[in-house]
Amino acid sequence: MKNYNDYQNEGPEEHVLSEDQRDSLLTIKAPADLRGRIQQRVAESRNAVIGKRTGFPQLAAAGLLGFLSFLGAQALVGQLGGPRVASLEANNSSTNSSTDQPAADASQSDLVRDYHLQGVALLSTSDRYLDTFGPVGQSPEVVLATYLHERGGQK
Amino acid sequence: MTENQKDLAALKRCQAGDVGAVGMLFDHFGDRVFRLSLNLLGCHAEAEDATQEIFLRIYDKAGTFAGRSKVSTWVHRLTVNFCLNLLKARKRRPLTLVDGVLEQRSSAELDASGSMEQCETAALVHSLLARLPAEARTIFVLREVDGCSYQDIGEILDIAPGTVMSRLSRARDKFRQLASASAESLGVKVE
Repeated sequence: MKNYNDYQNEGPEEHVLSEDQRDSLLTIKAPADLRGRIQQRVAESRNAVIGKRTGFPQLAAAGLLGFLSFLGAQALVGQLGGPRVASLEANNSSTNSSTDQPAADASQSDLVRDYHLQGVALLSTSDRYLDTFGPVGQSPEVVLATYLHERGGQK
Repeated sequence: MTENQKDLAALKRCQAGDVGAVGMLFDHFGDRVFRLSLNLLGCHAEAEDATQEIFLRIYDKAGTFAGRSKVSTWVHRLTVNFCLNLLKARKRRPLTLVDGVLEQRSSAELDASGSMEQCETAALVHSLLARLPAEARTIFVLREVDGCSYQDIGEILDIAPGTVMSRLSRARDKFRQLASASAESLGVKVE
């Protein structure tokens, strides 16, 4: 088998294609509209990538804020104690009275459980969070009040 | 500013998300990429599709260009790899219909590229290229048609210059055999 030096010592390279044959291939040009089609596809591809990049962080941020709001609301329930929650509950429900402490405790416990479920559900979709509680970034207290208002309205 | 420096600047603009820079690269490499795709794939429509995909990859991979070779070598490499992968995936050789190749060249191309005689000659060469194995066809086209140096071909195919020479020699022998066998029916002049 020939090695590199053998090929080097063969002298001038002997082409197989004639000039005419080579020229006939070199005259081939890309279709005139190909440039525009490529730029359009690149632009579409770029927009799709930007959509992916911005979509996920927005969703994640909304979910995180929803979760933090939920934690804040839980802390608020714990800090304010039964009377305020019971009072809020009483405003939304005619069946409870402010003197009915066991019922208020049960209601508060239900509230926390329900709100927990609601908060978990919120994490699954930022759209629902926005639809339910409005713009991301509301204080936990506002979120809780909104929730209680809606909960009362559902009863 | 050299051609390579202009290409590098366009690649950097691609990396920064400038879609217009793809047009600049197409102005420089579009015909070469399309021609190489057509010579390797043997089908006008496939060559168009391949050219689109290759320029999408150039845009996407602009940031991965390390600068160890010329931009033209890198573009050739992307083109060859894409076309060879396409041929492997489809498990077939390019079209061999001379008339088919002729029909696919529009009148606008004929006006731009020369006479009908040139088109017929190109079609005849394509019919012979179609019968070369993909590896031999690639190295033959890169040297005989595109005029790439041994070093550039070695970088494009990731092989040593000596290997380029030996494979090119075998590809030429094979092409001569095919041309001789088809000389009467196809009218190809073998020098």
